[in-house]
Amino acid sequence: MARLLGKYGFPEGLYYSKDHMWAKIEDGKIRVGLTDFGQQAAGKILMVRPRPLGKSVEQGKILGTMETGKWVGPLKAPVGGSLIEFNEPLRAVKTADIVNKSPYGEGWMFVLKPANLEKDLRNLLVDVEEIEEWLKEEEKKLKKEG
Amino acid sequence: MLCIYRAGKLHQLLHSVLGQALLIRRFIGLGRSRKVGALEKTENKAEKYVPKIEMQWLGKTLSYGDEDLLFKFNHKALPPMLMHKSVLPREERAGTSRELLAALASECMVEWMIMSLKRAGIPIEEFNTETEAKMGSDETGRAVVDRCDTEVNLRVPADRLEEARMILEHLLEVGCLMSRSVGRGVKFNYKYNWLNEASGPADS
Repeated sequence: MARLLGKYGFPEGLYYSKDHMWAKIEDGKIRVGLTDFGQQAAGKILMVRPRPLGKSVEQGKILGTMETGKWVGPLKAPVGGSLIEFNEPLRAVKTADIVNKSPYGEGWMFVLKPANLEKDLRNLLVDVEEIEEWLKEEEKKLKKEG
Repeated sequence: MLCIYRAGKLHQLLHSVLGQALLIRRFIGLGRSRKVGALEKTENKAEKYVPKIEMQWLGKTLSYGDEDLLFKFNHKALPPMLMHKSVLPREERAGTSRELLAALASECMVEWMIMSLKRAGIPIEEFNTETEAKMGSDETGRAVVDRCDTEVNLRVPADRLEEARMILEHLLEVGCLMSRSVGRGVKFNYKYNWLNEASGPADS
């Protein structure tokens, strides 16, 4: 059962970026997805469009774009590295909403081969107090944006 | 023949061609308009907003130049629009649908672009568009609008360029509501109702 912070799931054992992405270390690779907060704020996700496989991306730079009913927004790399895998069902409108249904499971987005993992991990949130504090700020922002 | 529309300035012109189809569907007589509603029940019982536009012919006579039209969009962001056709000299007399179509082609996509860039926190330093509605003819030889070409000129800070470019690529790949709708072919249905008091059955 995922850990809940307020009404958002934030499973333990993952790293979180302030761009609403999560990162999970798997055998030297990094699986990446959108946080539960990110998917709830976005609403129904219609499509994810990745950069070409093999492309190297720095931490915080754009890995792909995500389409909702009202806007298209950037998905930023929680860690730098090269893009080696993309969750293909996210390309199709009929199946992309698995991000909404299962943001930490079937709705994962990318797999990266990290370039500077140790360094990049230091910029991510893992501590529950830190996450909670950041969430409060994000909720305020969200309210302000309406 | 070209018709050029500059996006940033004519925001309220829109809903236009699709709107025209709807309004003509509702158009039931010269100088009159029908009550419009904002909510319509759909088959799945969900209430969905359906734009309904009223159009009135403001003319009273059969004289040339008496063709002004008033559109009421029933939308808070769209004030009534007067189509002031009577200002045109006879030799310039023509429809204005292409201008509306060009506005339609740019407004929907442009609004989506701006909304997406803003939401991504990308400052938009400059933004303007130009759309051309180009004419051609169909297989019967009648005039049609063949294509609408929109050119977007924008400037964002250099360090956000890559991000902005990817967002725009995504938007152009999937299209906007209007480009998808018109591109696949919107059905235009028209119906008229005689308002003559003594109009009996058509074949009596």
